[in-house]
Amino acid sequence: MNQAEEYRREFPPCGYGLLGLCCSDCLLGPCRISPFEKEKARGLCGADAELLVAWNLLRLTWREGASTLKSLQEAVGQFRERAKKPEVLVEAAAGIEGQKIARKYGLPGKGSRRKLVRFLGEESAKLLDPLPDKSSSLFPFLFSEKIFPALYATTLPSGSLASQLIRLPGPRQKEEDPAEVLRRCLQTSLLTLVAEELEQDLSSLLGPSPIQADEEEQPRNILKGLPDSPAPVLIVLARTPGLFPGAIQERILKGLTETPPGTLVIPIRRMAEIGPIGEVLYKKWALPITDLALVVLVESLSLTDTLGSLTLGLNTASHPPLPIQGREKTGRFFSQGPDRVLGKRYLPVESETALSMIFQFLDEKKP
Amino acid sequence: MTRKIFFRPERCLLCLSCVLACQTNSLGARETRLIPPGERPPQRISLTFFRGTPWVWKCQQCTAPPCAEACVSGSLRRKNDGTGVEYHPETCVGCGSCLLACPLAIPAQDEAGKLSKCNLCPEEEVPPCVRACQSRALVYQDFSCFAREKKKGFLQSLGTHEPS
Repeated sequence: MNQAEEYRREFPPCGYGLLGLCCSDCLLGPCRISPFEKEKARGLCGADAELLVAWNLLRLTWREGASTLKSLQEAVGQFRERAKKPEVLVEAAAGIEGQKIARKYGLPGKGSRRKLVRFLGEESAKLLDPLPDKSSSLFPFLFSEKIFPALYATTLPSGSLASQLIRLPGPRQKEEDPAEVLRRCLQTSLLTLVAEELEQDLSSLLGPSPIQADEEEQPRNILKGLPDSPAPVLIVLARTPGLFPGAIQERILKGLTETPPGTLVIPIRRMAEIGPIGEVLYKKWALPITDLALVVLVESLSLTDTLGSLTLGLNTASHPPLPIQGREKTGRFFSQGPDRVLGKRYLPVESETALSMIFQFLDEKKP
Repeated sequence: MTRKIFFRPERCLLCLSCVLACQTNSLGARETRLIPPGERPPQRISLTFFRGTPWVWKCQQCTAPPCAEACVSGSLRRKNDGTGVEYHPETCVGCGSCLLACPLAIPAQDEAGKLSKCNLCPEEEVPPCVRACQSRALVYQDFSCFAREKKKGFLQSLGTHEPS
């Protein structure tokens, strides 16, 4: 038993909360619904268990999105302050970090420094605008259609992060469709990830890069060891390795947990790294990343990464699991994917023993 | 040391975590996310109000259990060490005599006629209901320790101290 499991055994979390079956959104409550009650159980406002679970997810998504919006707003504030002396920003854009960011957004070449500064300023304004005229242009650069066709076929978010957060809560009526709530959560999560990436880029221009040098080398290193035919891929995301007690990703990466032979294990720190990795895999195997036998294992205390990964059309496992197992419909919504045709799966990981489910899934999906 | 579950109503927040923990454990799951779908748990503990005071309704593990006396098949027996009443479902005939005999109407009978009641979860170091109670309204203690603490708390509330 690892440290986290020992702690949870001593101080068990609320069983209702683990399932998403409690709600404290209004002063009528707090309400809870037992997982053993019949289908007709309702909260005091009339919401059923499906809606309770969906609203819980919505509240978590909203809070994380708002936090990211605030960080982006602060970064933009500093950016505009520096922009009062444009030559300072252009000088920063000429540096190594600036050049990398310019390449990422397809702006290398003559005049790229000024273009980059203007581009970042415009895109920030779009994401922060509560009444946007135009949607963000960042998606094709971060998650291209060639690599993530599912995203462009069904779930590409529109508008800005600010407008999504305003729309997210919805009417909060007991007749609301839980699936519609969950769809809004998925779109908002992906926009949150995009806003996070933009905030990182702005911060890189304004100060020391938060991105480690070895992370930049990741895609090139992967290319060196790729087999000729598509192999099962396990992408392991952990934002802060070592922070999570008993981290499963640490055990996988140190080889303490056996992965099936031939499985390609790729560690990442941010969801946006999946884009370049997808490009590398596409060059080698001529397949979009969403068509591979691939699972993203997200080990994170936030749910934005998990929901963002699902929105991209990737099979996603999360540890700890999302609080969605309270009702079958919500669990099915994620296990069958936002679009049933795609057949993408959400795989909850309670402990290391549940990894076998992931490996079995990868084995089933092997070409 | 003979330990039992004691309830302190002044600490109860009516969160029902004890009930859910018992139900989860009775289905063999470590936590609620692992509950087998479609399973109905036996009723071993419930929470109710008695004259405005919350009360946990569960087997009190009587030292002179009327249910064991009334049991015709011997499936309910007082434990030798006096810590409670143990139930052996394999010999239970489902007559319901224990339900009639128990002054608190604690035992519950499922569709198969089998009994369900608190057995103090001997396989666990601390019963799951006690572990789940965040306000420590449920405690798992030796009777003499519990009685001593109650007395001490009562004397403190009166503004006096226990004589040394």
